[in-house]
Amino acid sequence: MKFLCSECQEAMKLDKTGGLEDDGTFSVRFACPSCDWGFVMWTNPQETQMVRSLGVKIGGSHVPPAPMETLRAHLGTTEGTPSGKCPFSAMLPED
Amino acid sequence: MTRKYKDLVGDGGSNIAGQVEALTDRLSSRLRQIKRVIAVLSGKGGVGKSTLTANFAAAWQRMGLNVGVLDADLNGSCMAKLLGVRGYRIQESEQGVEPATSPHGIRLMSMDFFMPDEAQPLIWRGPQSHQHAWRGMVEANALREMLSDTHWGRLDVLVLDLPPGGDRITAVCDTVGPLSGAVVVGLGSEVSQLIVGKSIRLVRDHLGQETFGLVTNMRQYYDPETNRLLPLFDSGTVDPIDLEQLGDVPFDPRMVGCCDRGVPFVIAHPDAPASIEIRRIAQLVIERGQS
Ligand SMILES: Nc1ncnc2c1ncn2[C@@H]1O[C@H](COP(=O)(O)OP(=O)(O)O)[C@@H](O)[C@H]1O
Ligand SMILES: [Mg+2]
Ligand SMILES: [Zn+2]
Repeated sequence: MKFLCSECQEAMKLDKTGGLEDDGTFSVRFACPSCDWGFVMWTNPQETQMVRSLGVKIGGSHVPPAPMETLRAHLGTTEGTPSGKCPFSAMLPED
Repeated sequence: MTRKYKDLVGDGGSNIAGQVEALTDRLSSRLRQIKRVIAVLSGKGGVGKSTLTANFAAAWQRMGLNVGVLDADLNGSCMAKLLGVRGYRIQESEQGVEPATSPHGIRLMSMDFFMPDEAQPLIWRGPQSHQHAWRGMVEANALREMLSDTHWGRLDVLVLDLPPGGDRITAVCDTVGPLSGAVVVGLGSEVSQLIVGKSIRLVRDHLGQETFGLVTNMRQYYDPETNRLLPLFDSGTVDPIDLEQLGDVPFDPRMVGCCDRGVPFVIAHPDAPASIEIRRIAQLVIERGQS
């Protein structure tokens, strides 16, 4: 998915992630690099899960994923992985 | 004019494409240490894929090759039991997750090693509604991780025990990439030929994978008491499958006990007709994989 500022015809850039809720909804803020315009995208739990299933972190990551991180995060055996106790936290960049 | 998708360079900073690429690289570098990846598949369940996987693995090990097995049947894993490493719990090292090593020296990675209790079904954490939207993706990634994050070391052969079902075969091929080849298992009955024929056309013609040939399992019955081979059913009228026949492994009543004890049949009964045939096929497949 890519977003376009319809005024400036510029690709919107990821500004910040946040708003990960207990119900599995998740928010990402995008901003236009040319004008002040921005918006927040909320994903529903299934959409959040789709990204999570890919084994990637929105916005990238400084540390490579731990061995079998996706598998273990999805089994709930998160010891030894940086995914914490929230089942969705594995998709957030850690820092 | 509104700019189109292809006009927008980059991914807006989500870096998802970049991370997927990094994961693919991780898999490729692991696979570089593995000479051959051989899939045992059928499309049909209960034909002996897992049993033959364990026995081919043991036969190759006995030929002096370094052998690994990936239990790719995530929802029906049984290789830990067949290879006698039930109850193994995963350990990590610098190089990744350590596979179990069977008493006969075969390295195994299986979903069973992650489950707190082997009697429990595999349940992925995630939204309970519309699971179909994401389950396949989680399983494809779990499989990729089991391949790429396992410290296999140098292997001559990695054997994949595949689940039944064409969709699963496609998903596995998609994750693994080009195989050295597939060994297809069928029963030789009409129903089996029908389903197995579909998988062959899927794997060979549609997915473009190499196929070593067809193993017919349990068409004959071997009676250890009388040392005789008898037909198990009338297969005289069945249309032959359009794939090279690698061989015929007879039903041997002692096979089930071996599975239960976790000792590959070829090791427990090396002189049985089934073992002789399995070794002959194993040799043939390795020769094919080299040419
Ligand atoms: N050649 C054989 N002789 C005797 N029993 C066999 C033979 N091949 C498979 N079996 C038995 O058939 C059953 C199904 O085999 P399995 O390997 O689990 O099939 P699949 O993996 O294709 O579902 C198992 O109980 C196994 O012990
Ligand atoms: Mg099986
Ligand atoms: Zn703008």
